[in-house]
Amino acid sequence: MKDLDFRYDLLPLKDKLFRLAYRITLHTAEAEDITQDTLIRVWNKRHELEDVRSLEAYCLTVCRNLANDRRELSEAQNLSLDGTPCDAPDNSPEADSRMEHDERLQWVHRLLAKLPEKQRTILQLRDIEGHSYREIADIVGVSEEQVKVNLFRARRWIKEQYEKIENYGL
Amino acid sequence: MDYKYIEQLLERYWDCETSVEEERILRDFFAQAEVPAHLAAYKSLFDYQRAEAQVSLSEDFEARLLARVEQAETPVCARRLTLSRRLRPLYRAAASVAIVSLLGLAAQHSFERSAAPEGWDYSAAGYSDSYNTPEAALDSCIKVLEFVQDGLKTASADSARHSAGDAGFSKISE
Amino acid sequence: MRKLTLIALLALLTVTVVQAQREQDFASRFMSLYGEDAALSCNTVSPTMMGRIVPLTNDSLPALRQVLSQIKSIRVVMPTAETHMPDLMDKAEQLALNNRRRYKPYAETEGRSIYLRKRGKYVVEFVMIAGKSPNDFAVVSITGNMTESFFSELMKI
Repeated sequence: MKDLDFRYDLLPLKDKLFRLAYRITLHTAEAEDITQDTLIRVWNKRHELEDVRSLEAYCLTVCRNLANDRRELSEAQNLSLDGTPCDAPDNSPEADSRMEHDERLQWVHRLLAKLPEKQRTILQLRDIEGHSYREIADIVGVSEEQVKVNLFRARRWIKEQYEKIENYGL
Repeated sequence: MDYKYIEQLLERYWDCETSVEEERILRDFFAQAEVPAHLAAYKSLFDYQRAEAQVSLSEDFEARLLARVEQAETPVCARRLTLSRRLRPLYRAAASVAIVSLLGLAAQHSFERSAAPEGWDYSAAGYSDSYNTPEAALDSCIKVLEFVQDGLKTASADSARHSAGDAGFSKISE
Repeated sequence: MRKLTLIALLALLTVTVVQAQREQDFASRFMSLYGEDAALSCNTVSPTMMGRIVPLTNDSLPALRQVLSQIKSIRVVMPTAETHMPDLMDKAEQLALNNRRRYKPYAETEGRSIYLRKRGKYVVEFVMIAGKSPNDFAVVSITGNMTESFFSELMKI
């Protein structure tokens, strides 16, 4: 890979990385930290990236790993002594400030937050970032088939939730 | 208006059979203010997707990050380097040398050409004198020249004999 | 700074190597091949010395001055008392033959061969291999920018 320039090659990826980190951790401050860590980590490793085909995919993979590390750590901290999860106010899903006025979007946000991490990540990369199955498979490190299966489950579940409301109301 | 196409797209969306482009069409469709009642329920999902794609970091994030990167750059940190990477500064030096010597050679070549387009091309540095004084050297030179003269004379006499009427030895070299 | 020094050193080395790779005359080539084994001696008049010789010649011998001014160097390879190599003549002839694109035979008589190396209109090297017997073996290399007049003047000395 050609010589990296932090400002021109890495910095433009910051928002996309932040969105993924936020999707996984559901926490703005943590997502910011993770974005920063991701960019600095990739920058420090820039001399070892000869085999990396897509810098963006590589960054997203690093970002996801870091976010999962954080998530596991904070989940472990929130375990009570008998091992059952207790409510952690810090970890509660928070919606973007723009959504505060839109009840509907907040509902979608909470809905997606209930999905398992892998499905959430794949949904984020597909429905929000618009990546192809191939790219998502590269980033997540699974086969294209697995990407499709996870996406199918996620969308199916969302559809079911929508149908529940339609049938029974909120 | 016929919404069959959209309904079909939506069905295929749930089945994960839509392309990235078709999913964009869906988002664009649901972005309009007026969506038919039977599809309106899903407007929130696609609106959410559009809204989330716009989420960005705070303005000061970039400044903070750049400060951190520059700070991290200052201390020289030990890194594992591959051999080729270690030698990279040498490549540049070698390339410079190659350019310098090529230029030098070219200059030398063109200089020599202009000075003597043809002729003597021996290295003057390759000779170390056997005689200490010019007088002794001159003596030796004269002896050598006499020796050579003698050689040339017999050769020319021979060649004159061999090719009767030939103007001389200079023709033999042609 | 270190890189700069390195570059300078390498450049110097390259120039030296390039200099060293410039042409070698026949006698010195012969010496480097057989000089040590055959205990040959080589008398050299360098281009520098040649430049100091020319002013010594007086006007009474214009031909000599004319000839010397066209010469840059003279080398004569001769056997010494320790030389016991009977086929020196053959070896010299072989060397000329191996470099036949460089040294064109000019004249040949019994026990004497003359070769010329030409560059453009100049004869840049005159080589004479002599040796009727192993004892009077000699290789003469005269280098310079010699013209046709050189040979005619040489005959007048």
